[in-house]
Amino acid sequence: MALALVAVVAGLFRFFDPGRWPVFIDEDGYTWAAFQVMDAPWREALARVRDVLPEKTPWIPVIQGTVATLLAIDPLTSGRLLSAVAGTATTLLTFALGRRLADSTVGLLAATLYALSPVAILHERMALLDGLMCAAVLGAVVVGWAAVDARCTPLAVASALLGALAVQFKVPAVLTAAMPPALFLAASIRDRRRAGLAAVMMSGPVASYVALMASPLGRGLSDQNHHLLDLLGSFWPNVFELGDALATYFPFGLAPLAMLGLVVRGARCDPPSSSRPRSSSGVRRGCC
Amino acid sequence: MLSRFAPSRYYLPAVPYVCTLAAIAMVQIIRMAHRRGWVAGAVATALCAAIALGLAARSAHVVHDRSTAALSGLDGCQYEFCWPSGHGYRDAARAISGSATPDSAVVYVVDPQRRISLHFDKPLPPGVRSLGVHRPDDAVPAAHAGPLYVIVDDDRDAEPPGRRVRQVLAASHGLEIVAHYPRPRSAAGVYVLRAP
Repeated sequence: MALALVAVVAGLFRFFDPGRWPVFIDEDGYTWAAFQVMDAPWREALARVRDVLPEKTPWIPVIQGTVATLLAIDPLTSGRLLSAVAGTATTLLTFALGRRLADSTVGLLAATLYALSPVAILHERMALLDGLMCAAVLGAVVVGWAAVDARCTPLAVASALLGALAVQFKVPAVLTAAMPPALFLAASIRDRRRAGLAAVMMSGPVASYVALMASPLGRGLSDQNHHLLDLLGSFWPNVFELGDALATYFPFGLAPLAMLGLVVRGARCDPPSSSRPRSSSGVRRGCC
Repeated sequence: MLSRFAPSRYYLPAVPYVCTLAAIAMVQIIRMAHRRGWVAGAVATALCAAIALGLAARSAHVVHDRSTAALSGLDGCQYEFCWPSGHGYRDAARAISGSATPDSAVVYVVDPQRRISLHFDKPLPPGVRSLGVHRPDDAVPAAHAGPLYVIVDDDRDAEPPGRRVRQVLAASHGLEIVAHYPRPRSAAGVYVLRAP
């Protein structure tokens, strides 16, 4: 019930009056591509998106245009609603993350903070790629964690698919591939079954990345990476921007609280495994 | 950190983790306070509730009026005050939709990436023709018989504001500025010109 209320609040902030803000330049590009694919057959739609957005993956504009056609709404509203849906889903996934890292109370509070987060709301009200990519990445982590815990192959496959989807939305999501080994190492390094599951989960984002770069889209994506990559050349300006963003979007001491939370969680040092021996009171034993 | 620039949206996948870690600390503080007595517990709970309410107030401000809300420097520039923000284009497009008569035509002297902002995905009012996107130093078509509207935006660097509209006015006689939609905290923006 409380989680449903948090989801409603998250939705209110994200779905309210989607046409309210001016059209940011990136939204303009994605939405123009989405407009090009409306009512177009699939192959032609993909070719048109490649022409309009040669340095981006085409899937979100294609989905955006398809949703706009199906719901008979304009493509900008469609893109902004997709981001709002993703943001609401991420709020629910944040609950799952908090419950895995601690308990349901933490999960509920974490979901509340995400639902009300200005930086999340800011970007999940715009027709950008980041909201959908964020939901897919977090979904891959939460489902992957459950797979390692339960030694469950179908969940590992689901995590791999979500990781693959995240890369198709936005290429830097390939970093999701680092998550399964981390979970495996934290769970039990000698467990072959879990090692296999981690390999399955890793294969999703890695295969997705390789397929993208080997496809006709690869050249445009490489150009974009080359254009954006500046090995440490902008390090200090980026550090300044990050500090500014933390101070602005995590006010009232939330950023130091997150640091404290890292220390608290680190001190508990529970592995991500429900199969760890439990004490007679049912409380999970720490590994420290 | 390896990117040429790093706006806050690039860090969006990290936000659920920051929220979760902050929640872990808040719940730990509340539990420790409760162990010291109900008053301490109530104070800790109230403080955490105040943080959530403060966050809600900030977000409500962002949703209601982003131009006066607290944004990071780079986000404020990108989404509100600098050329990527998109302020003014929809106002200009609406102004023409609202006032152009059926024999009118529209010329666009704008950043060619501005298409959805200018409602290129929607039809112009009945009888109003688009004469396409032009360069600022080209004279606008003089052969059109009816009223002619020109939408002009500022350059990406917007230095000095109004440079491009002065170029258009110099290249084509008979045009006059009928509306100017500046971006927040800036003289730069979008202009609507009309002839005759």
